[in-house]
Amino acid sequence: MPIEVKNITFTYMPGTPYEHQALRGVSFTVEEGAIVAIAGHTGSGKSTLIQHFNGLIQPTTGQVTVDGVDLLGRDKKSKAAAKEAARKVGMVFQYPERQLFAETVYEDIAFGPLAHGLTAKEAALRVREAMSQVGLDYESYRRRSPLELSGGEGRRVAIAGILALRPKYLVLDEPTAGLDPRGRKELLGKIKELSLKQGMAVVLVTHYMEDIVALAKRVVFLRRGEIILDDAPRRAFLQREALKEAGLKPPRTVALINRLSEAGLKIPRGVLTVEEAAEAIYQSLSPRQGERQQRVK
Amino acid sequence: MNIIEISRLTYVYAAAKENTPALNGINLNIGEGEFVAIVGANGSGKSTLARHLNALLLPTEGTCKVMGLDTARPENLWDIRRQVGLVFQNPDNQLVAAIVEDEVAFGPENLGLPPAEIRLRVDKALQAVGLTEQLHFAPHLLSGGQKQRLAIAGALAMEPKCLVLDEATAMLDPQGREEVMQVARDLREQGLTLICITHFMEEAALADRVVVMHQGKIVAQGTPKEILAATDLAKWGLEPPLATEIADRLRRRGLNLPRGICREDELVATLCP
Ligand SMILES: Nc1ncnc2c1ncn2[C@@H]1O[C@H](COP(=O)(O)OP(=O)(O)OP(=O)(O)O)[C@@H](O)[C@H]1O
Ligand SMILES: Nc1ncnc2c1ncn2[C@@H]1O[C@H](COP(=O)(O)OP(=O)(O)OP(=O)(O)O)[C@@H](O)[C@H]1O
Ligand SMILES: [Mg+2]
Ligand SMILES: [Mg+2]
Repeated sequence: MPIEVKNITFTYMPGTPYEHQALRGVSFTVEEGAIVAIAGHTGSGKSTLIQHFNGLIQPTTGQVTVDGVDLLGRDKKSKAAAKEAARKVGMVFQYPERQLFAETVYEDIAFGPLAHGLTAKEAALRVREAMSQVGLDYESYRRRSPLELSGGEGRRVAIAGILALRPKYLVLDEPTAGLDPRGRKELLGKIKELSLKQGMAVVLVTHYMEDIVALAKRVVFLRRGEIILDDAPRRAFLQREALKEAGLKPPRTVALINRLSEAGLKIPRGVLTVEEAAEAIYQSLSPRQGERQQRVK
Repeated sequence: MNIIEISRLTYVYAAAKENTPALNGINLNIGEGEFVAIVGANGSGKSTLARHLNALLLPTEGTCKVMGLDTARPENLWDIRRQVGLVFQNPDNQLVAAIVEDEVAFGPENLGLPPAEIRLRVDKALQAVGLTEQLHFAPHLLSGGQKQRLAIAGALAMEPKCLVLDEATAMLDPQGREEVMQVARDLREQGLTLICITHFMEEAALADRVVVMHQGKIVAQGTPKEILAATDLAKWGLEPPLATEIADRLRRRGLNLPRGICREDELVATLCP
């Protein structure tokens, strides 16, 4: 069963001068094993929305269920069920380095699995596995203090701490911000693999449309607390109006194709990946290739 | 004239005495008004270097001079800090005030500027990053990207000679990223020295010079064309910018394109002359 968000609204600090309605009637389902991306302008409510997925924030109105269980426990028994359901959702926050606290990288990553009742031995396996998944060398990093790492290293430790829980639903808020190009590519590849092999569902909040191209089957555009589009990336990134309304830009590949066709190249739309873009450009040039090569020389 | 002169700089974090230095024999001069991009894999030493530029860290060995002033001499600290603005990757580490506008006014107030001038700078800086609406907000109530914009506004309000952006746009939406880079480039027209640490080669492609760091050393530097379009970046954990990659792919398919394409406008101009 999925994560279901049913017509939720959320208001920060109601009744104060800071009162702010961050979500205005959002309905949204994350099917099992799905990979969904959420994009939107800064302040559009992305982080607020996903913090509902594990009950960290309770909606002002509306309901959130995980595998059919309401995350708002009303009595003791349903509270326990809600807690249990929320545990299936692993959440990597927007600045996750902030949450690193243990003495060593090892302890930090092992904390979650141990808290979920795994034995020390099982947790040890999870730590090794998760560190390799985020590209951190086990021997060189396990004894390091998590507070004395570079930005990207800290980010990797924080992500490893959640991957070590092997959550059924993985929710990531800007996970690739701060990762170097290889780290970014490898992490996205690893997440995709986990989703395919273990059926893990993924919700990805990101400002990088390229991440969405690399990973997601579905993308949601959020604008001022409302969903204005929910579609496959290939179609979504062609919706110039929706992109503009959401304060977004298309991925670099799409932007490049748009520019080329504005400059007069006859080139098909609907291209997403770098491979596709290169191929489409090649095809559109090849009939006149001889002539063009002369000119380029 | 050089605004930054770094000579044989080595830095070892105290906690890592037994480990390799975070910076290892860095030599780097940056001219006034130059736009330099620093790229490199996670942990390669970029932020450690940036923290030397306004004397947050002092060299273990070697020297770092800003406008001819040695960062290791305490009496230079004040002058160095007011001339070099540094924006970090994580804004939470640098927000101090209780209200957005105070946050931005904090630096100018410390400079002892008259209130009218402070007001002007605060409004200008908040406008530049698009936070005017949140003037009276508490910084901790802002979203991630809003916080990052605020940190940038704080640095802008100091009107520094040299601005160091350490992945300052990483949490911004695409529009915000473009806006901040545009503000930075406008300031540069007015003579600002811009040092931009980034994981995005497309951003680095806009600089006058690209410096590549790897394991605490500078392993390559040159124009974007020399570094981004003509070097094997993969060995440093990096990737070419999109324009370079597309041009390479088209070349492999037999198209005869000139070398050295690293910006999208160059690619468009080449393909659609
Ligand atoms: N604790 C809070 N109190 C009051 N308002 C808040 C609080 N936290 C967030 N907000 C406001 O709610 C809105 C949505 O914030 P949210 O963090 O969900 O945005 P976001 O889409 O994640 O943005 P970003 O891309 O910058 O991370 C913002 O306008 C923000 O200022
Ligand atoms: N406070 C610290 N104490 C000890 N070692 C540190 C500390 N901060 C960073 N390091 C180490 O110094 C090296 C350089 O770190 P630095 O933060 O300069 O890297 P970076 O190039 O900025 O990386 P990133 O792209 O991840 O931000 C890394 O190996 C890192 O683990
Ligand atoms: Mg957010
Ligand atoms: Mg850094």
